[in-house]
Amino acid sequence: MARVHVCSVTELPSGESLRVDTQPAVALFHVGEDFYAVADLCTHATASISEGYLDDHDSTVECPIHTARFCLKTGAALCQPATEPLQTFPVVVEDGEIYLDMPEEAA
Amino acid sequence: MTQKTSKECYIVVGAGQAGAVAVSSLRESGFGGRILLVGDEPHLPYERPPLSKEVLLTPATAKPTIFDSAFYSSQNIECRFGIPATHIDIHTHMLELASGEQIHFDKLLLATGARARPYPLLDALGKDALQLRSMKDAQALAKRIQPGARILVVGGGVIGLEVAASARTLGAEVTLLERGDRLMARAAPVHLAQALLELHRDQGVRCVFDVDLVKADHAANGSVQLHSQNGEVFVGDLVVYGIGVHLNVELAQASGLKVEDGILIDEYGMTSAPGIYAAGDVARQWQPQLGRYIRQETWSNAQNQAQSVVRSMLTGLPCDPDLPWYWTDQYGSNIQVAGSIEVDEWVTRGNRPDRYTQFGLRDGCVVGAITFNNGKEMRPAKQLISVAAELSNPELLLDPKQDLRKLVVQSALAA
Repeated sequence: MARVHVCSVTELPSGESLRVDTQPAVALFHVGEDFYAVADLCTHATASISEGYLDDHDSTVECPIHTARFCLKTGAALCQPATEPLQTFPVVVEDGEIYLDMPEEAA
Repeated sequence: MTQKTSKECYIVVGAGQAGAVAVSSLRESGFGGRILLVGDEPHLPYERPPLSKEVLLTPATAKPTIFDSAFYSSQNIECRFGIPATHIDIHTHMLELASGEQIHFDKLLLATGARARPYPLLDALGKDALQLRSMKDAQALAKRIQPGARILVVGGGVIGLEVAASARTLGAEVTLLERGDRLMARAAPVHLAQALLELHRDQGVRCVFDVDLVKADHAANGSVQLHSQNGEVFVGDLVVYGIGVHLNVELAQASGLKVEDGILIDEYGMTSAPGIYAAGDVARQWQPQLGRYIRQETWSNAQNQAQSVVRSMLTGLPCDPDLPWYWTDQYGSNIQVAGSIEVDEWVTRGNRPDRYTQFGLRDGCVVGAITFNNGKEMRPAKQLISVAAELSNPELLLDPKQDLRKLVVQSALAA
């Protein structure tokens, strides 16, 4: 694992998301008390999941281009047109700073 | 989902977006009978939007197939790909295939789509004139787009523009010829067409309007020459044209179904024959709220109407009206348009020329929306359109610093 610093918690208010330029790029979401990181590239086609529509009631995101929905907790594809899940990544929050744990071969 | 066992047989004719979505929705909704998917193309059903983009730009990683073959077998969906349907007996409910196979059905869904409208003047150029509708077309075109190749694109609609953008991105020299006086006359308002024109001109595409072609031939050196009415000659290595579609209504027509610019279906998705339905590009559906028939040639209509009609086939409930919506990707820009484009005025949210949302207003209410590199706001914009929201607080709604999603949620709570 390689730990990547993203930003401080205050820079990502709840209900918002941002794209992290890791390899692969990651979409980071803040929902209430929780942070979720999933692959930013939609599994269906070229679209940035961090630009997606966040539903903070059920922690899902809708792709901004073709409206496929994904579960942020598991990455699962919840409806067509996507059929494959998004990769998920562990998020660590320490002293008000947000970090991603990226697989070694990636990062 | 619980699968109710059933001895019924449902057949879907047409294995494109609508057909594939229909059969998967049938199973997902618990239909336990026999399902057959029949299509005349040999491939597994695939999405068409990538054909003018990913399949040309990044053929190695493009994956337009909707479901893999394992999906159809795991869902117990029988497939007949590469076999056209030849006749439907609408009284005895028998379907006949080109292979000679005859199958009795309880219900049948026609999702036969459309094909590219031919342009005989250009087709006379043989292998130097291509159209783009099928995977085969896209693969043929991909081979011909090379850096420096001179591509003449005929038609300034979505297909023409996306081909122009992909070809230019790949280093080809592109000239786009349009018969009318603007781009995307059918699907986009004037100001959006203008923005797209600027995008293409910035990228070095030459766009020429009011071009009425009268002759197409080869020069002595093998180049293609397109001659316009006013004497201008456009020279290139290859012509690609996108001038609209021809609906695949022949099977429906020959079988005695009512056809009028598409297969006519009622609000349940049913054609003029009981038990026979239609969806997708080929279907023209009665909209009770509007008091007229509507036909849409979009990916979202293929997807949503297929799901909606399948639900009607299973439950007898009427289809939900679907908000018109399409997107286009050109040079890395994503443009989405929803609802109506016939509006009194467009108001803009955002102050960057390359990233904004616009609302189309009629009588002060939101009836249409455009997002330019701002897909994130399309979902809340659609919510505003679906309730024809009054633009009562423009300074808030048009302030890009305000989160549109939150504004819409709050206004829904307040309402």
